[in-house]
Amino acid sequence: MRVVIVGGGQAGASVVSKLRQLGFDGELLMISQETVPPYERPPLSKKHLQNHTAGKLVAILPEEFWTECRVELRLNTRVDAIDPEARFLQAGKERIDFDHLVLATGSSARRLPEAITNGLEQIFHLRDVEDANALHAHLQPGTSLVIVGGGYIGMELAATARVKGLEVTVIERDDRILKRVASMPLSNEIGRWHRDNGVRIIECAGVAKLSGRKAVQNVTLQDGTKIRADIVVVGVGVSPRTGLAEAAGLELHNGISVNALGLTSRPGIWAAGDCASFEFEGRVLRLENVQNAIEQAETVAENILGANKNYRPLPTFWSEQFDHLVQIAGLFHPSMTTVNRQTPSGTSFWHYHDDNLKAVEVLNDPKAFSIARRMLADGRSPAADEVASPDLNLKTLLKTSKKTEPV
Amino acid sequence: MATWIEACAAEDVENEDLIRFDHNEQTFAIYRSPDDEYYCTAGLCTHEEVHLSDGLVMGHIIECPMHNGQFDYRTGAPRRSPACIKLKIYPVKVENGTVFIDIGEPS
Repeated sequence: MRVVIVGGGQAGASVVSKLRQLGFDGELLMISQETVPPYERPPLSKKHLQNHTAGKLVAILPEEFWTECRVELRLNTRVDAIDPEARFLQAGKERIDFDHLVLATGSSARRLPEAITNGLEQIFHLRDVEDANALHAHLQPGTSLVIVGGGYIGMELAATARVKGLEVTVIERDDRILKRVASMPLSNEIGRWHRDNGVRIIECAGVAKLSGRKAVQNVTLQDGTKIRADIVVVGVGVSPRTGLAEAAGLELHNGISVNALGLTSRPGIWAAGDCASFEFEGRVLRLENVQNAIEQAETVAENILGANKNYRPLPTFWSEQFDHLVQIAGLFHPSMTTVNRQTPSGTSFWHYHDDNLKAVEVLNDPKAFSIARRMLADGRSPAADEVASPDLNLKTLLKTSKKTEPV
Repeated sequence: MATWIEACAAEDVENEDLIRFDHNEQTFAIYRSPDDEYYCTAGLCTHEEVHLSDGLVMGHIIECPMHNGQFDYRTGAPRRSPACIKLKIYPVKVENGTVFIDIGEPS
């Protein structure tokens, strides 16, 4: 049997390592458009930009993995088409047959329309190592950096750049930063860290146009405000890479549609990670985080070998900004009720739907996070008034709280 | 060669929990299992050098607080990705209510 993986990121790496770990003995081929084997992307907006040494990436799999585990890795290779009937890929003139295909094509950074960017230079995105390397050279003290988009990538970059001594402005279209991905109290807290450190955040602001001679010099907002910029980084979200799947006639729904097993609408073709969308508890989800890339991919690996196992995500996420650590577990929704827990060790926000704990956001308290994540994984819902009481030990609550349906 | 050093009082570690112990630039994690046995591993996760002392002990598993990696703290064996490299483990003995670890020959 031959399994082919398209995409050389975290999800692809997790599929191949899990397949070998489970004893799969057939042929494994990974095809990647990148120039280097799979590496960890989260550091790109943090440590990698802060203490940059060119090419020093954190490899997801040890160097010897590829030969020892007999996985053929083809870098710099583009797949042009999938034939789902005859089960082969076309890559240039080469035809590559497969028994199972895993699409782990990830996502790409959204761009601003050409009408706004006017083809100017010094406009960057931050998605892969090439982006990070291109940007790094420009992170010099005193440089004016304007970041379009107050999502996690934008805020992490803002913190990294500010520590390096740049003048940083973040422009957010919504009425608060991180609106799509964080609760209001968390957004407020993170916003405060940035303002305290001298980052300027402008909310409810759309970008009208970028102007300059050859390189960008100014960012003009829709209300006419003009901000000087030596460089601009666009962090307005990502789009799933679905081109190949779409051309092959696979079903899409804001991503490549997969069922709970990770199977697309065609037999033998699977998808995992940023590019895959799936239904879970009545919502169609497409999760853009490392935990999902690993666990959905590992579930696909098990199911290729016939496990018939449903993927039940417990989304977890972390971010580092200045000297602060944010950790999130579960899926927050604005309709939830929030309980604030304040202890000497840290602050956390606990989000409930009715009496059921659904998501927890923890600031600078990894121990509390470890316990909260375990509660969510076990489907435990501590009573809101107990969580709010700083005298009650979380570990005790972990053991005594009632068990509901797992989230 | 065995190099036993005093790490903590046995009662410093709660049942099914762990604490951090630093010694000469080295950091260790001391565990007390649900059956009141004591164990010691290197203090940092092999994945991204996070202190395991902030993690959660469940049975004989320690879960890293950052990225969910899990290890069996009795053997150091990785139990869940992204952890894939074994944790070093150190011999432990408890005498008169004091926990000693042997940092001479980790395995």
